[in-house]
Amino acid sequence: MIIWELINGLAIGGIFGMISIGLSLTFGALRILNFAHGLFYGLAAYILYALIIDGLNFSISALLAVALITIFGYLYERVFLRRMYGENIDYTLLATYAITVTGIGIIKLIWGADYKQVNPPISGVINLPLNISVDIYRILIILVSLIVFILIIILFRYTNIGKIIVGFVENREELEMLGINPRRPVVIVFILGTALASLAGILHAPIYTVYPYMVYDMILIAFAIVVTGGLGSLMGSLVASYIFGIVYALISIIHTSLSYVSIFLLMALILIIKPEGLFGER
Amino acid sequence: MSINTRLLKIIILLFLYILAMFLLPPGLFQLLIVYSIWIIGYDLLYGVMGWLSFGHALYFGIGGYVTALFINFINPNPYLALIAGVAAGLLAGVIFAPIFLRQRGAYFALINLAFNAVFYYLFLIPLRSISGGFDGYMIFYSTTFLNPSNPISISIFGIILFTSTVMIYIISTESFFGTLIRALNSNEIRLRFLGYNVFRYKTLVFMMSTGISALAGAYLVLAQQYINIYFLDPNLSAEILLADLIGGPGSLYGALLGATIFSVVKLYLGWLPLPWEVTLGLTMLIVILLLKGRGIYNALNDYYQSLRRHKNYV
Repeated sequence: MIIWELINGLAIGGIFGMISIGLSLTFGALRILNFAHGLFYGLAAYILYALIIDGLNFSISALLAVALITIFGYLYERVFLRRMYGENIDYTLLATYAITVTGIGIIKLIWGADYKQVNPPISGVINLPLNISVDIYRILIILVSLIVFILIIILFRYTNIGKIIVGFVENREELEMLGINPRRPVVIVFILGTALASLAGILHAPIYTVYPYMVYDMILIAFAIVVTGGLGSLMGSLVASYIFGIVYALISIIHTSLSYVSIFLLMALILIIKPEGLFGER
Repeated sequence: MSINTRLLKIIILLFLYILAMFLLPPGLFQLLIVYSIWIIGYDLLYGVMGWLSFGHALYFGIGGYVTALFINFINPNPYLALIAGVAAGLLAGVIFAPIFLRQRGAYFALINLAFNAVFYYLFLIPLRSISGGFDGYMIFYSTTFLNPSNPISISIFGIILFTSTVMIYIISTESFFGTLIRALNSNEIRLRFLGYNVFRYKTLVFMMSTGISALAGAYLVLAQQYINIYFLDPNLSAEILLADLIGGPGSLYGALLGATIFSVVKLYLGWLPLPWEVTLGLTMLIVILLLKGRGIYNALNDYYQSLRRHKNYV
């Protein structure tokens, strides 16, 4: 039971990590807390559900959903978010919040407010010695999320574009002085964040129930992770994601609805002890 | 502006509300009173001090639930229950202040929403027996003055509560304390240099805001004699925020204008065949993008001032 939930926690931690990376990057690069980030996650889960209902198989619908959401994210940045750069943070927060509320309404309009079920692409249980059993789909999530995180670390450490993004987050003026157009890193950061959020939505859908308020739930969890990990620290976000994922899974042994609550209590506790977050700088 | 014109304005305001009491059906009027009280509490925090919150339904719901539970389990006296509700709101303010009042902007706005969602789920599933879930439950009380069979008495009681809230708002914003919290909005660091204990003032304003929000929730319970989980719905937080944004944050008349417009809009747009969130979100988006979050009252005020300046110049 404990091992089962621990594996579940690692899988959920990976999903949390994929969402919070995007949120953390847009916050670091643009100084905008994009409240609509959870909308990409929720919409991806719903599009996956709709495509599977239409008879496509899981992997094709997953690819289509990620592609659609990424295009949607690009348009969102192009049409809407661009006007927000350099504005007052309250103003941008309000505007993206309004978009999220509208988006949840549109989801309700199209798919209704009830719970939807998506079947995992592979199901089954591996039985290990010592009476331990492990779910295959959760192992798949853990592997996918680890690969994604390693790719992101390689991207930021070793490639040119990754270094430009890091430079952009750390010192924007200097980057512009070097003659690099700051539009490109912004668009790349945004598309990367959107794609990761939609991937997280797709991976999460089979082990969760798909319903409109998952958007709120996940943006709040992602925010808690980014704050706990330390604003602007990617490593902090990743560590906090796994901590929260494991806590989330273990608490659900006691009661399912307590796991959501425990995340925010843990966040409050960590912030009282360390106000700048786990990896944050003062 | 002299003291007399200010007093005149307030008297006209109260007169308008008393007029509305006779013109509107009691249910709608009581809802208007609820939004008016609540928006004053919200505006103290967001409009005057500049701390944006996405989760004020939490305090509204706490006030409502404590009042309902007090009547059902402890004492059926509505006045005592109302006091208990407000006290619970103030207590929530004191407890949450050290956690919430760390950083302005995104952190404060979202941690309010997070705790709002936490309480919503807690009340919806594990504490279903005391919240009543979506079905809710009725509460019963009756006194010689405040009596559910006589809606006008509840409306008059609402006017009394509203007047006292307006007084609290005016006293706290027009006094030296008001200057301090407005200074807190524009430059907190400078205020700290002057030697003020900034945290204490922030906590005080936050508590006033949570207490007044709880008062609004408690009054709604007494007016409807009914409570359900809707009192804690995070969408309700969006509603009060939208009402404040429509009217004009930072001014009493702007906020009350917002509450009035919103109550009417909610009554008529609620009939549209769209989910409530679509209407709510789109209206909010339009208001934010058109008025830059300044509200109708402030926008009109700016326009009026610029006209006057122009005239003097010519």
